[in-house]
Amino acid sequence: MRGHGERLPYGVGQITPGWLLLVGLAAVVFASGLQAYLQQLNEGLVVTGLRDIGTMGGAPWGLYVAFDIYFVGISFAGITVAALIRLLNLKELKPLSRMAELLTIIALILAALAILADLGQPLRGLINLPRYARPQSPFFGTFTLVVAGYLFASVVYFFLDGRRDAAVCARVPSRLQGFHRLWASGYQGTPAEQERHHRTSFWLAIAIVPLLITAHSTLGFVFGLQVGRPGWYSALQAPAFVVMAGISGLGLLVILAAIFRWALREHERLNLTVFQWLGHFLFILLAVYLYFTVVEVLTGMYTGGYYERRVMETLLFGAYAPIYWSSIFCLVLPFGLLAVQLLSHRWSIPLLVLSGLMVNLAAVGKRFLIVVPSQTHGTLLPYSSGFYVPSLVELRIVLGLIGLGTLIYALFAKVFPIMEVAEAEETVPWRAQAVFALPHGRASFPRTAVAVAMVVGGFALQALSYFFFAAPWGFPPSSPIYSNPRVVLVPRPVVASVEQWAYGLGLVLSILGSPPTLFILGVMIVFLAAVVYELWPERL
Amino acid sequence: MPRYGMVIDLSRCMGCRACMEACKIENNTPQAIFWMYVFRFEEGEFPNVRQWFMPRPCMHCDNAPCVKVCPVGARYKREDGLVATDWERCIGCRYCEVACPYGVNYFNWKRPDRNYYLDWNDPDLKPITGGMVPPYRNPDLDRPYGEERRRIAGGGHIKGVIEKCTFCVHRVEQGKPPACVANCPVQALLFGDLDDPDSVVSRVLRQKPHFRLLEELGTEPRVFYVGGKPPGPETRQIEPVRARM
Repeated sequence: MRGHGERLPYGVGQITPGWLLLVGLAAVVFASGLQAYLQQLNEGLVVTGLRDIGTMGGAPWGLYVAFDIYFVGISFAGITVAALIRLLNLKELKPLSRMAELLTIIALILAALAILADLGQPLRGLINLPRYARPQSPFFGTFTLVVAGYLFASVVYFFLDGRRDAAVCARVPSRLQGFHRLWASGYQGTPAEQERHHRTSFWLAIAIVPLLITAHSTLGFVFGLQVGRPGWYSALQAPAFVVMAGISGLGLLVILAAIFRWALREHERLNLTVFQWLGHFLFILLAVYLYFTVVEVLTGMYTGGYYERRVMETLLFGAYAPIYWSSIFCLVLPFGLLAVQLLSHRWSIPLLVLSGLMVNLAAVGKRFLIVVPSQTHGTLLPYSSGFYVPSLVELRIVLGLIGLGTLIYALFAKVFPIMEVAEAEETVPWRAQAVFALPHGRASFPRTAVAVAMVVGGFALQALSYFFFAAPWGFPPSSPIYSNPRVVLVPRPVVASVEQWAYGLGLVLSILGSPPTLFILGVMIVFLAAVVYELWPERL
Repeated sequence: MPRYGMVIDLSRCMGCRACMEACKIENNTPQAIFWMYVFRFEEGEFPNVRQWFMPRPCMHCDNAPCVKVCPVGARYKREDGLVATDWERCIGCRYCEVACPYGVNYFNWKRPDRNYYLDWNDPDLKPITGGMVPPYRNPDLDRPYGEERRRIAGGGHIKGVIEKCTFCVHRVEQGKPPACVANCPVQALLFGDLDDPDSVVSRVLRQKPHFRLLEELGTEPRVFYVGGKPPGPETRQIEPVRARM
C-alpha cells in the first residue's frame, strides 16, 4: 500500500475552528441535558409532563419513548446500507459504509439512554433486567435483541470492517498511532486475510439483516400487541415501524453524507451517484409508508369502531391535528421532490438534504403520534380525555442525547477516517463464490472449527436459556402466573447467603447465573465467532 | 387454595365514594392516586336522563395484560388470583400502565412522603400538632406476603415505581375483606372465594345476571358487576376527579 506522507486521511487528527464550534455546542447541549437528568433523578419523574392514564388524565409514556423509537429507527438505515453494500456489492456506495455503521452504533446507544431516562428506577433497571427479564414481555426483544444483539453485532461489523483502514493509518506516525495499531490488530492485508474478511463480512451481513428486521418488529410489537389501546392494536404496527425506521435513517444518512462532502471537500468520492442511490431507496420507502398511512386512516375511519375512530379523529381533526398534518406534509413534499428528480433523472443534493431533513421531522412527529394519542384519547372506559405536553426537562434531556450523539460522531471523525480510505489495490476482488467455497488446506482448520463451534454453541445457549430456563415448560410460554426464571445457575439460597456478607458479590452472582444473561451471552458468542475467525493467529 | 373475586352491585351503589376514602386510609396512597375509583355517569338527553355510579377497583384479571408485559416479573399473578406488584423489583418502566385497559395503575411520580395531602413538616402546622401526630402509616404494608414472601402490600413506598389496588392483600391474608368492601355502607361491594359455593359472591353470581368490564378483550377479570349494565360510548362521566400532581 502506498504511504500517505505525514498526514492522516480525511482530516483525522486535524482540528478546525468549525469542528471546535460544533463540538463546543454539542457539549453545552449535552451538559444541559445531564443537568436536567440529575434534576429528574433527584425529584422523580414529576418534573416531566408525564402523568397517569385514567383519573389523572395523562400519558405515562411520552417524549422519551418517542425518541427511543426514533433513535432505534435511525439505527436501521446505517447497518442496512452497510449490509446491502456488502451483499449486493454496491461499489458506488462504499464510501458511505463507515458513516452508516457509526450512525447505527451511536443511535443504538442513544436509544438505550433514552429508555434509561424513562425509567422511574434506572439503577434497578440495569440490575433487574439481566436478572429477571421475561421472554413473554414484548420488551424482552427490545432489551436482548436490540441492545445486546443488534448493538453488539454492529460493533463487531464496524470493528472488522475498519481493520484495513486502521492498518493504513497505523503506518503514519501520529499521536493516534497506538489506537490505530490496536484496532488493526495485526492486519497485514495479505490475500488470505482479505478473503477471510470478505467471508466474515458477508455472513455477518446475512445474519444482521434478519436480526434487524426482528429487532425493529419487536419494537413495533411493544405497541401492536396491546389489545386495550385503540390505535396501537394493529397488525400494521410492526411493518410500519420497520419502514419508518428506514426512512428516518436514510434521511439522516443523506444529511451526514452532504456534511462530510462539504467539510472534507470530497466531491469526487461522495459524488452524485451516491446521493442518487440514497434518493432511490428513500423514494421507495416513502411510497410504502404513505400507502400504510392511507390504509391506517381508512381502517380507522371507515369501519367506525367507536374507540378506534375516536383516536383517529383526534389525530385528523382534534388536538393532535397540527402535528399530524405537518408530519404528513413533511412526508408528501419529499415524496414529490424525489419523484420529480427520479422521473427527470436530474438529482440535486440540496433538494435531497431538504428531503432528508423533512422526513426526519416527520419521523419524530409520527413517533410522537404513535406513542401519545392512544394513551390520552384511547381509554376504553369513559375517563375524560387527557393531555400531554412535554416539560422543559424532557426537552433538555432529549436534546442532550442528540448533543451526545453529535459529540461522539464528531470526535470519532477526528480519530479515525470516516470514509473507507481509497485504496485501489484490493488484490482479492469480492466474489460470491469465494464466500460459499469451503476454505481448503489444513492451516485453516482450527480457525473454522472454532468459529463454527462458537456459532452453534451460541445458538444452543440461547435456545437452552430461552426454553428451559426463563420460560415455563411448553410452547408458547404464555402462562401469566410465571414471574421468576425457572432455573438459575446459582441457587437463590446461595445468593442470599453470599449477600449476607458481600452484597455486591451476591448481586453479581445472581446476574451471572440468570437465564436472561445467558441468553444475551449466547447472542454475543454467535457474533464473536466472526472476530475469532478473523483474528485467529496464523501460526499457533 | 381459594379463588378470590369481587362482586359489585350497581343497583346498590349510591356514589358516596366511602370506598375510595377507605382505600386511601388503609393503603396510605399519596395525593391524586385512586386505587379504588367511583365513576359518576350520566346517560341520555334532558328530560330523559339517568345517573348511575360504578366503582372501579383493579380487576385482578386471570389473563392480565399487565402481568404479560412486565419485563421483570414485578407484576405477577398469585395462585389465589390476586394480581400483585412487587415494588421492590419494579423498575418503573410503566409498561403495565399502558397495557391495562382499565386505567388502574398509578406511578409514584414524586417521593411519596412529600406527596400526602397534609405536609406534616409544614412549619405552619408544627405549632398545632406540636410534632406529636406523626403521619399515620399502616405497619402491615411493609411486611412480605404470600408463599413468595414478596413486598406487595399497600402504597406510598418509594418514588419511581408502579403501585395499584392489591385487593388489600394484607387484610385478605388475615381473613378480613378488603377495606373498600368492609366500609361500604350499603354492601354494594362483596368479596369472597369464587370456588366456595356457599360464599356470598358465589351465591349472588348464581342468582343474578352479571357482566365484567371489557370482557370482549379476553382479560378474564375477577370483578363481577350485577344489577346494571356496562358503560358504553353513550355513557358520559360527570364530575370527574381533577387530580394531577
